[in-house]
Amino acid sequence: MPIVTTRSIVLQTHAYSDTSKILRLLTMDHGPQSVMARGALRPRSRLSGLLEPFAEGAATFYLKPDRDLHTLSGFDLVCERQALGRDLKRYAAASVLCELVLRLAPVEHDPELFHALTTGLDSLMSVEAVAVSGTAVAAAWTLVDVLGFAPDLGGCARCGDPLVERGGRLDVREGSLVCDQCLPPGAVLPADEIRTLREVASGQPGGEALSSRQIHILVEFIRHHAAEGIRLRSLDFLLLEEAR
Amino acid sequence: MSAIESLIGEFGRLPGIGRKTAQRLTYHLLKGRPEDARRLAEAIDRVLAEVKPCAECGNLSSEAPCEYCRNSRRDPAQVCVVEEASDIAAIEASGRFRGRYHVLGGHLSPLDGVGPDELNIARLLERLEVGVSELIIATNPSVEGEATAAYLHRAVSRFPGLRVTRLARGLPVGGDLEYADGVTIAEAFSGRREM
Ligand SMILES: [Zn+2]
Ligand SMILES: [Zn+2]
Repeated sequence: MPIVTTRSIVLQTHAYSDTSKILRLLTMDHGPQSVMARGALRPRSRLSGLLEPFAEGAATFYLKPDRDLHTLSGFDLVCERQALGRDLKRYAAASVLCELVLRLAPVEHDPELFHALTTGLDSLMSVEAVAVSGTAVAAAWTLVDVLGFAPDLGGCARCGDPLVERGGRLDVREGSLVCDQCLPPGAVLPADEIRTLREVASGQPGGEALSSRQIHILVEFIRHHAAEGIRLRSLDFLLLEEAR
Repeated sequence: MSAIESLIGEFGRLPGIGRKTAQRLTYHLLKGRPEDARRLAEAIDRVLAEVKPCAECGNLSSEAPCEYCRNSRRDPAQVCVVEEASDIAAIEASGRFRGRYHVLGGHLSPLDGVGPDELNIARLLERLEVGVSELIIATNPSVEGEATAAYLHRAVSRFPGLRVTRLARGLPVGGDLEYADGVTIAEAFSGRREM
């Protein structure tokens, strides 16, 4: 029964009892893990204020290989991100990043994924209010890429048109672009939206003018290409906030 | 499944109760006097039959409307919003608040599929149409509680004369209001701030 200490991000918390909390963590060295924080809800617990969503710290727990719930014995806070709760769009966006990891992260550890999540959460803390959505979409695409689901945004998958001047569509099931000539009739993304898509999908924060269409593309892509038909609830929340 | 197994299973579904405790509780009931166990069963039956959410405020009560909504000595112009009905008892223990309550039934949590429509917010907005001058937002001082407070603050901005306050920090961050001590809650009430 080895005791491990590993850098961790709190993805999700649930009250388990009057005094204890169950946490879903993304750990640097052991991938996603669930831990029980006994006594964490007591007002005078050393842990009470630390184990909040989006917080990051060095978590110490007994790692039992045959169990899916471990017992947390300590959490040395490195960075709290309470401020994400005070702004609804940042809150929605941070939830999107955590939900992506919760649903799609493999059981193996992946330092690159950990790094992408911290970077995304930090950028949501610091970015100006007008650029929150653009930053969120870029950070989500970065996670999608690290998780191994990146779309092919080269030319048209059917005829090879580079899609620089011509419009097209992201085929969310295939994960590739198709030009407006090869497409069945329907909505077409103009060339400038394809350019924006290529930018945000490579992790460059979309600017203030990022259209909610880009969030819709992300929603549909994740749903059909990565999450086996499941809609991410937090993306719906972000869309609602975006519509205000 | 045997009767014993089925009771152990039911206890085990309660929050904070593992299989061992569930077994202990079950055998405790079996070894004790039958009337003690029957009283427990009757008490459960009774709350199920009698306790309902108050149509006015969402508090859980066996009376309609609940005791706080009926009490004419409580100030209807002040409404204190809490996440859960169990938070009311904690605030009452502070003895500081003499207004009315509103129970949301949880907090915003996109990951759990809890959005504004899943909370008792529409009724709150209706209540604010008449005779409320101050809304005190007493959601938990957690990330989710803060997000819920931010949502409410925006949602009530259409009531121009309404004073909107939030309990001061000093409550344990990440904690649950229900378990804070009376002194802490009294402090938090006196230090409530404009949003
Ligand atoms: Zn083509
Ligand atoms: Zn009531």
